[in-house]
Amino acid sequence: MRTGAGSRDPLTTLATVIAFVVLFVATFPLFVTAITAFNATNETVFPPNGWSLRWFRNIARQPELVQAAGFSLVLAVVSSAISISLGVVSAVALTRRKFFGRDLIDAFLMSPLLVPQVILGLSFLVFFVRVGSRQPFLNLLFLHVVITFPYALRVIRSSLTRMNPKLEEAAVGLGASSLKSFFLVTFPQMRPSLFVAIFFCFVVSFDNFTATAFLTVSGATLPV
Amino acid sequence: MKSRLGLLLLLLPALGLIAGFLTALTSVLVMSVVDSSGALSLESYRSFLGDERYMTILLRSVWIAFYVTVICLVLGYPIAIAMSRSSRTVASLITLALAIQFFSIYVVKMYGWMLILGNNGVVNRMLVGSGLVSSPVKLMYNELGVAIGLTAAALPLMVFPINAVLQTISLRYEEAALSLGAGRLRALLTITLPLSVPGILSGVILTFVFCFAAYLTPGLLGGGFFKMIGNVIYEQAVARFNYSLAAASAAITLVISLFAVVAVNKASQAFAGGRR
Repeated sequence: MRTGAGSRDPLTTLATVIAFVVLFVATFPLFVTAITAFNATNETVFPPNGWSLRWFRNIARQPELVQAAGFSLVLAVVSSAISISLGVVSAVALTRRKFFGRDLIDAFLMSPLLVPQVILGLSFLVFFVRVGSRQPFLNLLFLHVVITFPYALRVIRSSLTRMNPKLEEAAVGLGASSLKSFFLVTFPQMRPSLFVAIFFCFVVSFDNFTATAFLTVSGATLPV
Repeated sequence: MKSRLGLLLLLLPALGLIAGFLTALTSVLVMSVVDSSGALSLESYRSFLGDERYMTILLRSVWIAFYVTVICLVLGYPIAIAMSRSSRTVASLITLALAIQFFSIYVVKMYGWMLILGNNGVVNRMLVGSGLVSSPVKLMYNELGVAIGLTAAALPLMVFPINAVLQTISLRYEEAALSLGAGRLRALLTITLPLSVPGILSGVILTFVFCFAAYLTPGLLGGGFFKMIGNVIYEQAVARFNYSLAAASAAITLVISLFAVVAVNKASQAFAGGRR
């Protein structure tokens, strides 16, 4: 019954008009960028003076850019995989067992979200300089897992909370080991949320500029 | 006892990860209060707080984050209303636009704004072409450009939490007000708006902290002419290797962000208490 009263309401219509105008303006730069990529001249103007695919060929000819794209991709895949494995394991522990200090541990695990990206970046820079770690990939991997893990935990956790624990109990009651009940009952129900979590982690990692910029010389990952 | 142990084992890797992160964060905080010889010293805070340029940048970052948050609220609330109340097609279109906005690569988004706001950008070509102005108007590399970029980037952070709360508020309340003779606007302002305050507050926190510590938007759209506190931290750490000053700026930034979070949480509790 939600839409019944709302749809003919002039205020909702007004809100919808505002929403479309604002979102059109906010999304416009993306279209401009996408179209400018097919620009034929050296001058970056919109609308372009002509059309060409030369900039894409140009990218392919710049080994640093291709390498950076590959590095970003590997980093995003590996860090997402780690975050999601950690997320599944921690979410199960946080939702399937009641124990003292559970909310505290939850807040602790979510804490990287509260810290601004610049401060995250600086912290890791200072930390790695102090420890003397000169492994760019491992340093960045640590940073990206910390950044993506809270997203994975939040998404997976909320799907586990919405599940009916009786189903697992039934499986155990029928003689399955708790490990078996996890893989046969819980895991299949978790699958949609895993895709969401993978998407979030991947985008957050692949897109990260601010914190990553602290740990790299310019150009190591694609956004930088 | 066995399940306790299993639990600990399950949580151990994640706890270790976050402990590693907090160690790194603590090392920054420690670095801000020691000098180069390792003795306790507040020198870096003195040089930050005593320097008029840094103080201007800090205050300007708070101010810009404040008014961008207000603008996002004013623009975002109608969007959330439209999202929660219009037909399914319209609602999914809005969600799609917001998701594109939220998930598109941040650097690309800001680059798009540079193409629009620059001297040779879309807006200036239209203005000059139509004869409204004779020479291009300065729309970026200044506060205006940074504010526009931040508003666009932060908008989804405001809309999503408000929409999440609006979804849970039954329209029946407003219908009751309408049937008792209230106008639509009055019903919205006196019934729905107060009920959605928790969503507004979480949107406000996310938006404020995001804008206050922004680095990329002022970096690109401010172009070095208009800096915010995030740029100071980066410059000091990466370009000048002045880690202690960077650490002091970071500590001050963190304290202000956490203060904002606590203040808004308190406001939200006070509000919930007042309603009871």
